[in-house]
Amino acid sequence: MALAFSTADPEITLEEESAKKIIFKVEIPPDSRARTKDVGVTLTLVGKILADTASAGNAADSTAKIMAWSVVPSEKKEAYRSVKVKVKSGGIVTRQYELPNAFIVDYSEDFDNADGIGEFTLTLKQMKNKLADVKVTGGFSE
Amino acid sequence: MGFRLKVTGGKDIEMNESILTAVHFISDTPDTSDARSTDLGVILKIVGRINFSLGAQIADATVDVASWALMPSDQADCYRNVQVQVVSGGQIVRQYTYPNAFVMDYLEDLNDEEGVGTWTLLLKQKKDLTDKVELKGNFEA
Repeated sequence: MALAFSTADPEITLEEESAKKIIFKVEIPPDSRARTKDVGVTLTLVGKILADTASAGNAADSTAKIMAWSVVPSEKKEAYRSVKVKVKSGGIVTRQYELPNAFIVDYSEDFDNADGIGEFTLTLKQMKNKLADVKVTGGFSE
Repeated sequence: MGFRLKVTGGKDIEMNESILTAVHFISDTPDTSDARSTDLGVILKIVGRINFSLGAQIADATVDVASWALMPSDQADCYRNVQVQVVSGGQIVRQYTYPNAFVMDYLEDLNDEEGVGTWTLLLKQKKDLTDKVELKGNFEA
């Protein structure tokens, strides 16, 4: 199973070896008595922070660009980006998640002296008034 | 993977991989927001050992961190410039610079099982100056 993460405008493409785990969540308030309008779509991505030791200065990954995105203030257009995540296994795209107006809720980086590499956790949400634009597809070949 | 810490603007503090064991960077906004929030906080969590130098030859820099944590908010140097580097294979994987960091939490843990204690420091950049935080990655050491 491989995960491909990318955003458009500005572009970030995360290498497949960097992405470790993806969680797609559709949430409604658990105390609602009937189907609610208050639906939220959250995407959590966990991945590795790799360094290219062969040539210092050349990153083996693009996680630094996600870090920069995480501190973009809400007044700026770039706070919202179009995100696409593909889950591929055996030549088939099992899932493709598209969040055309995603923003970062939380981003964290963890480094430990016991591990050789770092780990990041990215939590994204689709802008709530544009929830209908979220696309989940799957089961097609590339 | 090694960590280096440099605190300036008060009593200068410097630490390296012999003391520091973990670094966490957190960019935090309210989880319940419907759209990107302006309430952005940038946090840094640093974990290290309370090391002692045999014969007290090297001054213990962790004491200076503890006294920074105790500082009342009316003093100017409770806000300090903090720089943390994550180094791996001749490369600076990450460099976090918080020019106006303050201590949110400081914790020391000592017991009779381990030879040295550990401490955890939670820092935040002053919230109206969040855009002054400098985040860099992947350059030569």
